Amino acid sequence: MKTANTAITIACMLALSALAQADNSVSIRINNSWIGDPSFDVVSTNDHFVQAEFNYARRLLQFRQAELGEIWAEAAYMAGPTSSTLFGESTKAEAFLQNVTLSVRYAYPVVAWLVPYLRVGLGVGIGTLELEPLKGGDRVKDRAAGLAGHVLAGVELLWPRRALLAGRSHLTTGLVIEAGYGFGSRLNFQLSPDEDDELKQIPLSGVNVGHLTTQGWQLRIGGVLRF
Amino acid sequence: MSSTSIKSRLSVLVLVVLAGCGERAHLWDRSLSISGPYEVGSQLMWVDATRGLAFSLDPTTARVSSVEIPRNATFAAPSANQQELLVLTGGQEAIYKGQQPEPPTLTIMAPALPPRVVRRYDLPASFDRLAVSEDGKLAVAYHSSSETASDVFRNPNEVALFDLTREEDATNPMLRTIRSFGGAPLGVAFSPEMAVPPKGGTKHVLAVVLADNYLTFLDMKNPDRREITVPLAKPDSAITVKPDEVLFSAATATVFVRASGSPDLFALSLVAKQSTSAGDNDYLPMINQPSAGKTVGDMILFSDGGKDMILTANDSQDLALIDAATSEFSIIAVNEPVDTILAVPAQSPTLAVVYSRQQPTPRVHFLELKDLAANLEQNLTSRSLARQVHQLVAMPDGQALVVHNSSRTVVSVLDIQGEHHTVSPIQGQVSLNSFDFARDTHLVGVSPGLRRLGLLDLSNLLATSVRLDHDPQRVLSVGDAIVVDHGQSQGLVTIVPSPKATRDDCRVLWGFLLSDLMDHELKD
Repeated sequence: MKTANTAITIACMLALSALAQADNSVSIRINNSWIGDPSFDVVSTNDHFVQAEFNYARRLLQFRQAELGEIWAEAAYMAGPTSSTLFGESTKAEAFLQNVTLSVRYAYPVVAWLVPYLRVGLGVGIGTLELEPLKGGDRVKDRAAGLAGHVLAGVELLWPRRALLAGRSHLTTGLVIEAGYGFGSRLNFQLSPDEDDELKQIPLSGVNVGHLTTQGWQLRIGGVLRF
Repeated sequence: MSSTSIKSRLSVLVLVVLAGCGERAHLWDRSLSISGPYEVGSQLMWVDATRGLAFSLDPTTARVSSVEIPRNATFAAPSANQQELLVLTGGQEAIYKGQQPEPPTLTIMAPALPPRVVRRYDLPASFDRLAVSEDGKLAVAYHSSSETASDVFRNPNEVALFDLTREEDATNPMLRTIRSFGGAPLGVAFSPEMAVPPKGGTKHVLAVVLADNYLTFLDMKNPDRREITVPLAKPDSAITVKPDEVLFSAATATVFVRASGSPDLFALSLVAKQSTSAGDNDYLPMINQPSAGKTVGDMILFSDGGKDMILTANDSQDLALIDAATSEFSIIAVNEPVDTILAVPAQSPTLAVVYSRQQPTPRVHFLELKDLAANLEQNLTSRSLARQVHQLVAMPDGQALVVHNSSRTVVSVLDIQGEHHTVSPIQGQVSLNSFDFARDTHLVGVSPGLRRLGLLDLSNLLATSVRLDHDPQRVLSVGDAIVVDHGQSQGLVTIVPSPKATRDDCRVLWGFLLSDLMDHELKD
């Protein structure tokens, strides 16, 4: 009996929350990428790469009051470091990878608290690679940029706002889980030591260490705040 | 489907997603083992034993390129004519799942961008030493006596005989185990083509394997024939006779051996004999010791009036001149310690410069080799220098670099072919750790503590230098260019285009041993 009452209460709250409007959202997500490309071995001991994403989205369109879905526009910044030591711990390799993407999200609220969606984003990927000899030598660094993007499918699980502040709040919180494929162009790095500021030096040619590829399957989990 | 089943499947999925992170190859965690640079042709080459890469640098274009070779290089050296690089690799077992085993190999590369693999031989055993004949056609791979065995058993007397003019086949290389009296090979010397008997006999090319107390003769033209072992000491002798140097007199079919622990030179005459069975040899070395009855510090072979002669520097403060054909000898008294002979020029010498490295004195002796048998002491002149002579290095233009102390901080240039043998002191500030001769016109040298490349014009002994931006470790002359290697594991060299170049003409290459680091997939 108690269980039935609880279920009815939750259903009522969900129904009420569906009436509310919340056209903006911000979210923080943790992105797990599985990068199988051998180039990633330079900066990681495994295929696992974790980044944080900061996301702002605004609802642009509702089709028949969301019965047929909604279109959202998103701007996201995602960044994360990875590092490893190479060759008997003689060298430390560090990479910091950032993506700035603009996305379009099609969401289809099954009920107000359960919103599956598909989002497609495109933007810029910026990578920094740094090699630090741990047994003496020059520390070298380079930055490279290329295209980046993603195709993700996910779901938002929202907490009904009426349950929080009895209809006066425009805030909704929730959990977001999404998975898909993140892609990006290969980042080419040319490393050379910095020139001395004071001394006149012999012209120096660095080395092209090749391309870093960071695309792979992704799983993102985070919290969302709608307002 | 039961809820338990769904839960267990979900658990597996979560575990796969969260823990299924492919680990990178273990090779990334192994220390880099890089050898070189080796001067090969007009390029410099490095060997990365860990990743299995050979790098080639063309100093003219400052371009670097690499090629994959087998991993775990145990030995690398240029051929005698410096046109090829020969690399022995130890192979590897498949330890990890998915790993492919590699056999031990001998890989021969020619300098190119990228280096060109000329030939590769798979080997049944891992060797770590290689001797190659002067003409680059024959080679013997063997085990260094100091190698620590990682296997349960290791046969230190196993050798592989190569005909480098042929591709690999069932008999090339030929694996042999040479007879042992408890020792292991110290080195291998190759003879020129020698007819036995000397005039009109069957031609042989011999590989002589040196070991404590004995020599082993292998007929490289007939590698399937039995080896011949020649003892240098009596079986019950407590003294160890260690062969140091072997000279071959093709004109007389004689082999001369200088050995530590021996009171005399060994002269071994090769005599023809009838082979009685397959695998039997048609020659026999006959030992002729004693020859001059002296303990020999150094020796050279030269031709005087069409006769092969041996000149030895002896611990009795004299020189011995030995007729290679008859072993008759004459003594040339010096009355000062002598143990080192510098032949000038190295091929077909006409002059011997004699001094002592073991007991340095400020004296150098010059011995004209022409008509020496007739003139003996009359061909000997001596020159006093201001300082002791620790080492003499022949220079390209008839001069010699004289090193006056063991730390190589004081050197001078000695005119060895001029009538007066003039000496020009060169004041060094630091130890001359590495030097070379550029374009045959300049002596170039570096010292690790000083960021400078020193240049000495041999025509007028004018000393100049080029300031470097990094600590030098080694200097090499390659074609017109001078390359200073800074000895860093990622690869760092300064290229000086010519001895006359200024700093503005120079170029530093950094990190070339890391080129394409991310594009080159490493597999265990």
